[in-house]
Amino acid sequence: MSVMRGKVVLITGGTRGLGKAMAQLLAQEGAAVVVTSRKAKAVTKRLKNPFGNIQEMPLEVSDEKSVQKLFGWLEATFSSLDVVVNNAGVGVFKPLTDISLKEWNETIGTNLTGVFLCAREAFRRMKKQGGGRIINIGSIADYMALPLGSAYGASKFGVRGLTQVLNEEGRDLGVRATLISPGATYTEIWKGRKGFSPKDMLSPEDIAEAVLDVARRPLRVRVDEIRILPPKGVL
Amino acid sequence: MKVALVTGAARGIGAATAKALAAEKFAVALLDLDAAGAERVAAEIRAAGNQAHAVACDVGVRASVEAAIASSTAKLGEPSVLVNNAGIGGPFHRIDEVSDDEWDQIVATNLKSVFLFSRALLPKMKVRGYGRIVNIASIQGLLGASRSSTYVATKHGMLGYTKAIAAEWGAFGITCNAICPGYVETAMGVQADKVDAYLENVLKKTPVGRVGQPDEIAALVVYLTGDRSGYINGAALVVDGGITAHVGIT
Repeated sequence: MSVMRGKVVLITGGTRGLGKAMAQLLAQEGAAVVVTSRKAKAVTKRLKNPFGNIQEMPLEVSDEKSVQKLFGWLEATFSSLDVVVNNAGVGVFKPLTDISLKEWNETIGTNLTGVFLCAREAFRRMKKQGGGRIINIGSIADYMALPLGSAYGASKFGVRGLTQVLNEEGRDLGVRATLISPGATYTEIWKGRKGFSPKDMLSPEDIAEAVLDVARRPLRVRVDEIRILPPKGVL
Repeated sequence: MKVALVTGAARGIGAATAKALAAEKFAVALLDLDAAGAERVAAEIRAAGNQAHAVACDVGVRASVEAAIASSTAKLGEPSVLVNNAGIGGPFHRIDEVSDDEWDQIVATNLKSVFLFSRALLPKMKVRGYGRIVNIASIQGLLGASRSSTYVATKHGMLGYTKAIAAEWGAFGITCNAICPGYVETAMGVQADKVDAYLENVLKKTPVGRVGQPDEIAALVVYLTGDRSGYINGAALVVDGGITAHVGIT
């Protein structure tokens, strides 16, 4: 199937874990996919993928200049920008009293300010072209309290609020925002850790399918949020 | 905004292509030896609310090519689309009448130009990770013709060069294709309002029974430079009303 043929998709992060699964699925469905990485070189690199187009660009989501540079490149390279997935994120899990200001700032900077900066540029472009989709990847931590997740939870609750406002501001401009909140998902970071079995967890492909499901919809369809959990519920 | 550079854009297929790309929201650099002609087309594009910049260019001369690229890049930005359209057909001599100068000039305009623009722009497209090159060849890139030997040689060369670019640069997100128009109603092609023995002959050999229009070539350029054409690479696409599909004897 090629339900995304002719569409251009940006996925922040996207070189591993959830983002990588999204990039592969959307590219396989025909989209031109751009993924980002903090470590990428200044020039674009095409990623090995036998089924579609994925190229990697450097991006530091919390840096306004870096975000503007990427969106400038997108504007000069692709005739449209149909879907932006704010997927890049970091996590720090410690008791509140142990979290340093630096850790707090890094978490908020990447998870919340990063989404603001990318959503702002995406919104500007989509407004100009008559619409588009912004998909923010949240977490169960965007609707419930997880102990040890003060900074993480604050950033994800912030993304929830931002997503809702985006939808209201984008209502008459064709800009649609969706919050996708995955439960525990088995990625390479959990490999070998005690108490984390892939059997009890979602796979990155499960989340990617939810992203595709939203991304492919016509803009008259607004999907405010999707909560996905493994059968076991919250781990 | 995406930028497209079109050579030979003052009239005919080049002008139609420049207008069609502008309608697709490309900022278009129009290059032509006839700077005033290119400016007229550019003004038309701007009047329609789109971006265009006309530059004088002798496409067969390296310094002129590089200056024109520099001027259009400064004005509009770096092109991710290149349409090598500039070309000359005549004079129509038999091989034993062709002078060295005539050979050199046709080869420079029709073929060396493709090399000069490709060499200058391919590395930039590689850095971008995206590029589309469309070479406007001819059905005489596929078939021979009498009194057109130099033209025929350059258009065959263009198709070879198209395939070589496709092979060498495809890995970097760049595609290169050629279009082989048949007889198109332009100053260089045929004029439908001047019905003469030549046009009668063309029509007799064209299954669809008419000549082509510049916008019919431009429409294919738009497709080849769009986001859905990434798997077309190194192709020579014939747009000739069926002339080359037809033996022409019966």
